[in-house]
Amino acid sequence: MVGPGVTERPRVELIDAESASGLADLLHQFLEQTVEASEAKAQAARALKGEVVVRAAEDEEIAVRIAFQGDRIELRDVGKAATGSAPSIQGDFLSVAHVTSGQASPLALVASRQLRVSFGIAQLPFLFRVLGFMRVDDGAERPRRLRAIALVLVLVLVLVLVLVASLFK
Amino acid sequence: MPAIYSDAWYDDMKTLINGSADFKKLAPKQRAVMTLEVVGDGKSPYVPSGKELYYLVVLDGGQVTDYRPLPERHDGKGLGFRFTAPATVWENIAAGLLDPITCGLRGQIKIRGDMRFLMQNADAVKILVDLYGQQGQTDWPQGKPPYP
Repeated sequence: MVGPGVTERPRVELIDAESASGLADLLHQFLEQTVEASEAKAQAARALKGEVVVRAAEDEEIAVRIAFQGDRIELRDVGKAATGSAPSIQGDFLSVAHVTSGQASPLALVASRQLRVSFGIAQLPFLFRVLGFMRVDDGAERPRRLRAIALVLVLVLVLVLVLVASLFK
Repeated sequence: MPAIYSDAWYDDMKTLINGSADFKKLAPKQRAVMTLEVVGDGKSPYVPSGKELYYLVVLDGGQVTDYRPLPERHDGKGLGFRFTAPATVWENIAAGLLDPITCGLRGQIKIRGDMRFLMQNADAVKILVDLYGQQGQTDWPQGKPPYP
């Protein structure tokens, strides 16, 4: 039963859970908890349509395909099998954790080769939205960041005004 | 040299972790409670098949405040994480023969808990599990892994 203004959370399902890799199991729990974290995260998940493959740098036989299907997110181990045209992200545990926890920019990790990403140009917006959805955000971070940006802008404005005023003295 | 799974061995682990400047810097400041579950798999000479050992680890204020055996499986109340693996896997990690992160990714160690917290504190987790494998002072009275 869902209350007014709150919609059903997308279902997160791990295929062949009994024999799943640890990465698939961790991602399954992570996505379930992310979807449950807030209505905004649930909405972001519902808006995603497409697939992404996450590969472990520690073991090339570990790869998980995540299919975002609106009301359902499906995870499946794919190992070394070909994954078609789905975009893929490969990184070690720490790099993936740093991206999802917002401690590092995916672009910086790609530049330093800690994260390897393959995608078609048309898939780039989807990939960014997936990373945005997966990023841990407890809801308190964004207002704090906005306040900090606003404070910096006000300080810059005050400095500019002081400089301009001193020029016209 | 304390024997594997002895109280002294876990005391040494606690001292090793709390002596790590890197861990102190990166450890979560909030309290985190976890259990390590060691499942007898018929290969380990230290944990008979069908028997399980349970250890409680409590992190608080960036330090390990408790690291002790439990008489039975934790009921889950107030528990942040449960790490479960066959005894042979834990012992190979303790002997420095297996990488604990890779074991987690392969599913050799089952992890249950708040994955968002785990991701946010991945650096501390990495140091913690690496220290488990760098415990070079372990005595193996019934033989050291790898087992035949």
